Amino acid sequence: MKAKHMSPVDQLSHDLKQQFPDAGIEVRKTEDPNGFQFVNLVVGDFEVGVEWKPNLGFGISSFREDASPTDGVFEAPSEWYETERAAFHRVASLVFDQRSTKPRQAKISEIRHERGISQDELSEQLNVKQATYSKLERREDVRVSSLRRVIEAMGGKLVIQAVFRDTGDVREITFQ
Amino acid sequence: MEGTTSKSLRLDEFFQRLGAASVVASFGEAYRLLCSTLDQVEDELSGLPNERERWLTLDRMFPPQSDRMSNVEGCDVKRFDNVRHITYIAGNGAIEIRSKRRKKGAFEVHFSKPGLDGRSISVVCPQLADTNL
Repeated sequence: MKAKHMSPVDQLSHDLKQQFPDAGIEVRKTEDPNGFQFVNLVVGDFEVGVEWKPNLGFGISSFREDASPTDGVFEAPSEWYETERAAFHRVASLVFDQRSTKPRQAKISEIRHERGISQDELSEQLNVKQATYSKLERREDVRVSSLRRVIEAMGGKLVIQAVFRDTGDVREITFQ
Repeated sequence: MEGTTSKSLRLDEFFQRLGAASVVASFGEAYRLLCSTLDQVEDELSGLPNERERWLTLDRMFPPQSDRMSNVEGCDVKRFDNVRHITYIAGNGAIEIRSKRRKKGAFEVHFSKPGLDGRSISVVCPQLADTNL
């Protein structure tokens, strides 16, 4: 429901309170009418930070329980949306999926441990010797095809991105 | 530790240098100290240019600007909001950087430095000891 005469941030806060009545939601506004306004939402151990500024839109970052306490500190938000509706839908989907806007870095062995898979099990699935697989985990340079097989054997999908920090451009790399 | 250093190491270095700097006596001095220290660390370690107008896309930490500032009611303390944390700076030069959310009943204090008179943020403003105003 669109409430009359609400600022975009008040509207977002209002909509989120209706969607997530048990969430902790705080709104903060700077005194400068052209300054930033903030909505912070906490559901259990999951948190979403939103900042809005006229002519800039809604910046969103989300953090799972396993995020470092200093993740996001002095950083720009991970994603930007122009409208309150788009921001609301993005925040809602992040809360439903409990998903971080910024993926965590991990070594292959860490992912394998998190998923409770032993080297023996994985090497059997990949049809290689355990010692061969163990070497792969310790290598600094791995073939893309080998890495793809390992990730898929653990139930995932390998995605390779090219991130251009000077422009913010992100492209997914494909091979043939 | 030059060139491109991870953000968490750069943040640690920023907190270390800010803590090691001489204490200051006013809001203005503390704000300038925070800005110059963060800029210095990022200039040395991020490998990215100090182009503030590109703050949305550069993976570089920038000091908070006045468009993030508000007054803490009833205290001589100003507050700068970011998406996940708050920077408090008091009129006596004290600085505190803490999480917005409370976890297990407490805020996570990332950094704290008293002003020249020895008083920390939560002494200058006792209400801030257990809440984010």
